[in-house]
Amino acid sequence: MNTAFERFVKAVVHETDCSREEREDLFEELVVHLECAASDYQENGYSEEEAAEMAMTHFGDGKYVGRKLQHAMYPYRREMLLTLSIMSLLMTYGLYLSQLFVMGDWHYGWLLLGVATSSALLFLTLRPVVLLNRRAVMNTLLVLHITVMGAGLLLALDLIPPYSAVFGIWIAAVLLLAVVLIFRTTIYDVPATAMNVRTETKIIHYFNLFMGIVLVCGTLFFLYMFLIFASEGYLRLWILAIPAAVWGIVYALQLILLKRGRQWPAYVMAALQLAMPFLLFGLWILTVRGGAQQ
Amino acid sequence: MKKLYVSAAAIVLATAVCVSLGFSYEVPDDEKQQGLTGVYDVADSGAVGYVTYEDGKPTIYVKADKETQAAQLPADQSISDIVMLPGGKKLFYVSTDKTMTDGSGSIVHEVDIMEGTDVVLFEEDAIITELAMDEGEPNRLFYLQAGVYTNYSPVAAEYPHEFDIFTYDIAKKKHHRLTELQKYSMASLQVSGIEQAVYVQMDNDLESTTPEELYEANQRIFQIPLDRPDQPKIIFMPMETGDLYDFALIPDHTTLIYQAVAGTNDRGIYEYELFGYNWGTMQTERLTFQKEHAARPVYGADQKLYYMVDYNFAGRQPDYTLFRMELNGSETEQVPLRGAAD
Repeated sequence: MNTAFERFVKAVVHETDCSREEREDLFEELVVHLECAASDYQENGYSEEEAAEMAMTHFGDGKYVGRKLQHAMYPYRREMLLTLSIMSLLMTYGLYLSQLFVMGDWHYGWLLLGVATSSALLFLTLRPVVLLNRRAVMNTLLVLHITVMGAGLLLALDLIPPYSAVFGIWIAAVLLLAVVLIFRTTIYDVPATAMNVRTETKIIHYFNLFMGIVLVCGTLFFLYMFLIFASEGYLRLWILAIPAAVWGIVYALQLILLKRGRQWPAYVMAALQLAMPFLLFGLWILTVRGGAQQ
Repeated sequence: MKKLYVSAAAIVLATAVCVSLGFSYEVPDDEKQQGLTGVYDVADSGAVGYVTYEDGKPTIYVKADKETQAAQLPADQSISDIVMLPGGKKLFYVSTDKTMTDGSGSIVHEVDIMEGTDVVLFEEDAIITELAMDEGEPNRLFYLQAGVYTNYSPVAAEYPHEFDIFTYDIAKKKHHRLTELQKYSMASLQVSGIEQAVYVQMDNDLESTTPEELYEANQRIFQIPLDRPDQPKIIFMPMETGDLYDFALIPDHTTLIYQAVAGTNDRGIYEYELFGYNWGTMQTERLTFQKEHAARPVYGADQKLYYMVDYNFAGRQPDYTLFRMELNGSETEQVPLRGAAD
């Protein structure tokens, strides 16, 4: 195999959000295409080096072709991610400065978190990292981003009108876009394997993601209540993150079981997710009562 | 690749600028409070003494023929209550730490407005929340003092609790504990020198024994005779009356003016209004229709009802305005004060 073709095709494949299997298939397909083109040029009298050069030149700019392929395979996904990251960055700076100049509060911790998750989304979109399992990393990042922006929503609502309305609507749009992207990454932009196209698998994804959103909202609500009323006991707050962590583990186990064709145990695990809001509520009561007895 | 580096550098630079702006423009918590508070009193001369915050500094102004600054404390202090003395030339006020702790104390000050002096009347190693005086008891200052400053649950903010009524003999400089109630909450202390009694609002839980009964107890107004402080008597109100908060008694005792919830606004926030209950006719009349947070009723010597309205109730900073109205509801006017809502 021509190493120049390999380097060229790697740059093309690099621009797509394919899974490892899809990337290997696409890589092989494009290399074969270039080899055939080079072979045609050789038959027309060009030398081996010239033919290879001609094949790559006529194929087009690697990055451009890669982006076109990405767009064809996952329409507007890149644009959606860029919109989300830029909207989030601008909103993070705007909200931070509004809190500082309108309310006199210096939320630098939230600023750094907001900039970190927004920038990570931006740079992973502009310059994808081949070595990473892109979907898993992107979904993890989106969940983290939703949590940070959810905390930002609390800061926005703390502002006086009309700032609270402007930033409230802005963050709501950011959160909606992030949720849509999680659904896309998990359910639509996936390889058409036998497991992924099954309706049962999609239902399991929908159900788990819905429960995840419920848990994030619930955890943020209890966090808000605690921060408003409590004046101590902040070190106990990590307990409220347990249901979200258990939710993630149970979700991952379901996917492993589905991959191994063990559907019923996966459904039983899915049913377990229904218990997570109750677990969160129970831990909240435990946190409150535990503190009261101290 | 170059674009990436430029974008990364721009983000790092913008973030660094934002963080460094925070060093210069963050306002310390003590200096955030601004504007008029609900703390005020009306002297028999008509002079209004009130507390407003200027860049966090609690400041007392007295509005009579002209407006005079009577006192100003550092931004780490707060003024909990103020009492105008007859004639409107002197006042008492109580100050405490703005950020209260269980070790916070209180200082009661005496201000001579004409002389411009502010002297410490007494200090206590406990939180005093309210002061009260009456012409019939000119040498006795009554005050509400909390036994503890705590939260009974981690999701409840810390507040003063275990309240009792104390007196201070100004001439003899002696303190006396009037009650041994240790109430969870107690507010709106008023004194009647004629009846030799104090009136206070607290939970009607004297006969409650179970947690359910305690939880369901309504807030009511009690009369505590000065010679029998262990025998508080509940002031009669119709059974259907909900919780009563602040109140004012008309001197002839025909009417009780009280603050209660009248409904909720479209954001689900309670609207508090003032009501009058006439013991003669046994009728309740709604006196205010502000659809906001009407509070702190004070019956003035000019036979008008003074009250504050907080236009940002349940918000981050209150936004008070003082009103004065005829009791028959014929006329309501705004009393312009410094730091009030526009």
